[in-house]
Amino acid sequence: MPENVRFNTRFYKKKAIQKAILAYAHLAKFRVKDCKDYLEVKIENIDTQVKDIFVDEFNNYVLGATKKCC
Amino acid sequence: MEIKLSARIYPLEAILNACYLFIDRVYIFLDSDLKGNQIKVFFKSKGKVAGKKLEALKGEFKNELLRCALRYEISKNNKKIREYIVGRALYTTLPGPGVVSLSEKLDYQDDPLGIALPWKKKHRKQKNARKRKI
Repeated sequence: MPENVRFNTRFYKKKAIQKAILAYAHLAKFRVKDCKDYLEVKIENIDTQVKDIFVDEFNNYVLGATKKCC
Repeated sequence: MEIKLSARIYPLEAILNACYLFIDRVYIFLDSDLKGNQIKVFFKSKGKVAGKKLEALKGEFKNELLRCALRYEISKNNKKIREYIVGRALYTTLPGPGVVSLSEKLDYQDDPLGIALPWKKKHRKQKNARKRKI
């Protein structure tokens, strides 16, 4: 089942999300949709070995990348 | 676990800094309400962490947030003086206009101060001059 994560553009930078997607591209399939105040990331085909922690780890990675972008 | 923070009290930079310090211990996700006055910080433990420990982490996070907010405020207040100090320090390392013009005019063989003249020759000249006067 696909996972949806909505990143508020007030906190998360688009560049950081792209960086995170590049880093995690070998573990899942990503689709990014640009909404008004949010960037919606649809995650599919997550590697079964890391499925439990994947979304949370991805969120943390985006947060870290955002901090480095600033 | 969720922490609600007022955007008026805590600057966004301070919140991001505090979150960044905790991403190795917990999973963090940020969001805000529709008006944008309230910032929500979602905490999720990594692995099996007892409720009390997570509560302690929450308290630690709030303290860290205060520290980050204070640091941000201080750096904002001192920005001008910091820029002035760095600018002054860099300015003093530049060669002055006098030095530049002197080096441009003179050849390396020129000796305007008479430094290259041997001591004996210099004093002979002075002695001869005195004798002539007498």
